[in-house]
Amino acid sequence: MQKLFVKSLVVIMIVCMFTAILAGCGGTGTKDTPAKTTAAGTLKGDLSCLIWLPDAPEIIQKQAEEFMKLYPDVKVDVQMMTGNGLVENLQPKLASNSLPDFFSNNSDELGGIMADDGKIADIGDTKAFANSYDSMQAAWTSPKKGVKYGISGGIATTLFYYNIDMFKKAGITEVPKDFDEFLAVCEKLKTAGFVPLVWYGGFPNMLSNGPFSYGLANNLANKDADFAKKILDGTLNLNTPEVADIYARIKLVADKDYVQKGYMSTDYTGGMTLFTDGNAAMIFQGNWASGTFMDNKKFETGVFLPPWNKKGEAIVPVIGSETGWSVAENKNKALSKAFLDYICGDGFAIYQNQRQNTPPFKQDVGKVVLNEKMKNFVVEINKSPVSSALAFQILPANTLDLTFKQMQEVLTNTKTPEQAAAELDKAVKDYAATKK
Amino acid sequence: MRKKPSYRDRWEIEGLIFALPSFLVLLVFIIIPIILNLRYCLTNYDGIRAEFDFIGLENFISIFQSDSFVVILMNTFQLSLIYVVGLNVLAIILAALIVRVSARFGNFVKSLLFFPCLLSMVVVGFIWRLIYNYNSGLINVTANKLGLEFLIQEWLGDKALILPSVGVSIIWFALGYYLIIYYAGFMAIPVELYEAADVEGASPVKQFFKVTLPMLAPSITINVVLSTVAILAAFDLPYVLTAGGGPGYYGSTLAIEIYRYAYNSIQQGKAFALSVILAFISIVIALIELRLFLKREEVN
Repeated sequence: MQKLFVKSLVVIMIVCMFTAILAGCGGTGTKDTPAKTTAAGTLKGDLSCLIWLPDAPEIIQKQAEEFMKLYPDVKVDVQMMTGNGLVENLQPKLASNSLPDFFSNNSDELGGIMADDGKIADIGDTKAFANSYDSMQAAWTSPKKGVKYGISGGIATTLFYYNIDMFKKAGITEVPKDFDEFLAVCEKLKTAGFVPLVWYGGFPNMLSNGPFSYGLANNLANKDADFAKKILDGTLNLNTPEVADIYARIKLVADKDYVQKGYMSTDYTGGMTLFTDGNAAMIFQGNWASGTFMDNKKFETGVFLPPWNKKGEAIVPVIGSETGWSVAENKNKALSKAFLDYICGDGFAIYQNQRQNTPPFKQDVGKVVLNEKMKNFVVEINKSPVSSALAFQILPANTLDLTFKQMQEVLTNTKTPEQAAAELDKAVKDYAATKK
Repeated sequence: MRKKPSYRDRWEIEGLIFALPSFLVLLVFIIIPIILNLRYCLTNYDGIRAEFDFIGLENFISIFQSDSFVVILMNTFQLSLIYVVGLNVLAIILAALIVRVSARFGNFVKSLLFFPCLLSMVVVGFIWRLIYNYNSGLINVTANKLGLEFLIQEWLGDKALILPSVGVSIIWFALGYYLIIYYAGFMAIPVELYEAADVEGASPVKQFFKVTLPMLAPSITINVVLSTVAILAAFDLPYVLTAGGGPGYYGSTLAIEIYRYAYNSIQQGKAFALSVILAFISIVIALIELRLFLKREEVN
């Protein structure tokens, strides 16, 4: 009898253990918890967020806290993305069908694929989308099914921030207007004993947003308005001197010693610190970080359009959409959309005031803090008849990482610019062939 | 005449029930993923869309034909050599020193050296990124203050230094674990062997090579095989330290490349194929090592 009792107890313990293992498997449960709106203005539920904001992760934390204060029955769980970009963070979530409720997204090929595949909710009915500029609405609409799949985090462009004091000391009275003038400015700064330029060898994402995007704009966009579409179709020949020149210019500034020592291991924040500490005269960075550079107390900062054009040609600016936000197509999307409307509405000031980026909205939402120089700069570049988007919005989803590696290989003399162009051409065409 | 035991007597039902959860975990997390891996490596599955096609060995051919494959393979072998040799030699030397000191001090040193093993590899990676930082890292700043210009290097940006830098950090992380195993091996060596060696007039160095090392053979076998398999599959620390295998492919290993194929290049099929290649290499190397070291143990 005792033996039977012991055996029964053992079997019950094993069943409990096994059940515990099974209970641990599966999703977070938030997907299956629909948001409940008990009365107008009140919400309930748990919201999972995965956010890309390497320059200021505290912003989304603050927004989540404020949202939870407004809706005490809502719990917002924020996790930050890591690594070099969004793809490596989103792809495993997609593959395992465990996209968080609310996440950072780009208006690129992958975003369009996710939207057309039904992974992202249509947010066309949100106030945030209605308030977005037409160009931003177009950028965030999927190509095949017209799904409105996200809200831009801001009008994005990359530009040169420069140390006005260093320029004066080097005897530079005017900002450069073409690439040759730019090299001459770098030479003057070097002669004056300054490090001319911060170069992101260790964070090629920024090289992609900066010199690579401007290379695409000034070597390709100015010759063919449909070049971006042809790249995705695989019908544009990229094995050309113009494309090789994009890589060559990235290498040239390094070869001429116009960049900081140890640039191949300079990461994102390291590069920003080098400039703000007054250890380099210029930095090729995004307008989304203008708060860090323009509010610098150590010296006066100026801005100018990257002169990646040839002499005699107009500069083609890069204008795109910053990383924005999307909502997963799941039962929690009502709550996610409410959070989206908050961070693009009352909560937008938390995001914008610190970063001082350019809002993507027709009507201002809350207090907007934007340096006068930045405001004028964005107005100026919007006047250009020709513009191009950021590289990650142009290149196929699987090729962007290849270009990161290629830029580093060209910088370390492992590959020539011509070899990089040929490799890029093949990769883009192979990818286009798989879609047919 | 004794009654022959029944099947039920031989295999008590509760024994099977006890083994069932472990078997199910093995099935769900090891066996089924391996089978699925072998399936997906022959497809063009991208990890996003549900549709994919069978493409045979195209993934494998594409990997072998890529410019970077040889570089990445050589990096993997180079890092493995640095790690396995460096780790085991250092662990043996430290264990040999620790057995000679007092038990209390020895325990203190062992605890100190074991501490890094308790940290997450990602955390260790970030710590060493700060140490190796060109402008503000501990090594370069200290070298600058001491006037040791030759030590001011781009530890994570120079293609000649990236792998040794990764090797040093990963040895720092794992040293304590392997030290414990060698220490146990040292403690198991009979003292009489050393006494006999003393009587024979053997010097300490000769005693080390003729007595200590042969008696440590089982520990060496297990540590070399374990460390080899571990470094071949190592991902977190090298990935964080090299910021994704940079610069270019000079910091990239097979494990990092699997990650890149899967999550950066959105080519899950190729990632699965490369993981099959890595598994094959690991099995072959482990078998060769086992054969060599076990043979050596038999001779000793």
